[in-house]
Parts: sequence; C-alpha cells; structure tokens
Amino acid sequence: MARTSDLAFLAWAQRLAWVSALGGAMLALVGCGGPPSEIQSALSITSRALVVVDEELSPRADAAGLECEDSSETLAEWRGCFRGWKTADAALTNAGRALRLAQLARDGWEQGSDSGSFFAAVPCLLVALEELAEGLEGLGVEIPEEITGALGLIGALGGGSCDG
Amino acid sequence: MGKDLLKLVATLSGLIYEIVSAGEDDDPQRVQDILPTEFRTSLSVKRAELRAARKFRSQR
Repeated sequence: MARTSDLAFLAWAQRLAWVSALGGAMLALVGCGGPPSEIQSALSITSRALVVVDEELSPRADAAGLECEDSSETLAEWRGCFRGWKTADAALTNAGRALRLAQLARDGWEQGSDSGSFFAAVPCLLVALEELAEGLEGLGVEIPEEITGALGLIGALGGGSCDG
Repeated sequence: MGKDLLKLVATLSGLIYEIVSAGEDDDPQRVQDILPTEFRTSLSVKRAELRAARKFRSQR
C-alpha cells in the first residue's frame, strides 16, 4: 500500500510533467509564425485588471483629497498628505502606457515583424505592474487579485530588464 | 524545501492553466478597446489638486 508521502510525490511528479508539457507547447506555439492568441488574452486580462484598479482607486482618491484638506494648513502640507495618491495614479497611467506599447508590439509581430519588440516590451510592462502594486501597498489599498493574476500572466510571458 | 517546490509547481500550474483558459476566449478584446483614454483616478487626482489649490490660495 502506498504511503501518503509517496502519493504526494506522485501527484507532484504528474503535475510537473503536465506543466513541462504545457510550457513546451507554448514555446512551440511562439516559435511558429505570429503571436499565439494567449498573448492577446493576457493583454486583455491585464487591461481589465487596470480598469478594476481604476474603479477602486478613483472614489478613494476623491475622498483622500478632502481628508488631506481637513488635516492640512497649507498647500505644501496638502501635497505631502496626497503624495501617495499621485504616485499610485502615475503608476496606473504608466501601466496603461506600457500595455498600449505591448499591444502595438504584438500587432507588429502579427503583421510580420519579429517577436523581439514584443518580448522587449514585456519586462517594462511587468515593472509597471509591480510599481502599481507597490503604489497600492503604499496607500494601504489591498492589491486586487486581478492585478496579482495579471502579474502572473505577464511574468509567465517572459522576464529580462526594462531598457528605456 | 519539498513543500516550497510543491508550492512553486502548484503556482506555475495555476498560471499556465490561466493562460491556456485565457486562450480559449474566442474574441479577446484589444487593449485600446478596454482601457479608457484617461483613467478616472487621474481625473480624481486632478480634481483634488484643483480644489486644494483653490482652497489654500484663497486662505492667503
């Protein structure tokens, strides 16, 4: 009779084999012709995640502006109080810009350019999403699971450094 | 160590499952069809800045 640890190892080995097979299949897809449809889906899902964050942040930013007015004596003080919201807004805008650039690069790939521009855009998108998550954390806003999912999806598309 | 590895494999499996499921979306929208031209948060931030500037300048 199999021990629990043997069964766990068996389950782990099966899962590892499944992951390896799927990973290999994805790489094979990337290797032939234009971008696989999973890439467009990942970009769409990430876009929807940004919309969720935007809907979450917007009313809070309105409220925070008023709270900062109540707790500040001068405009400089108000700016200090509101700084975190400015940072989060800049991070959200930057993530939107990085997504649009990734979409352009993916479209170029579809129209016959090589995949290099797209895979060069991925690390910048990943950095932008990480900065957004940090911005939310800095405000004490819970990071929506949509963003965690988007980080996973984009991270799975590739790593590397964001140059420029 | 073994547990960490299992967690890692479970996470990776989840991610790949998400990617594959996402690929089953027949008509994934493009980024520009989903993102607004300007985020509501940016408008809220600008509105808050204007309101604060007006308030504190009028107090001088």
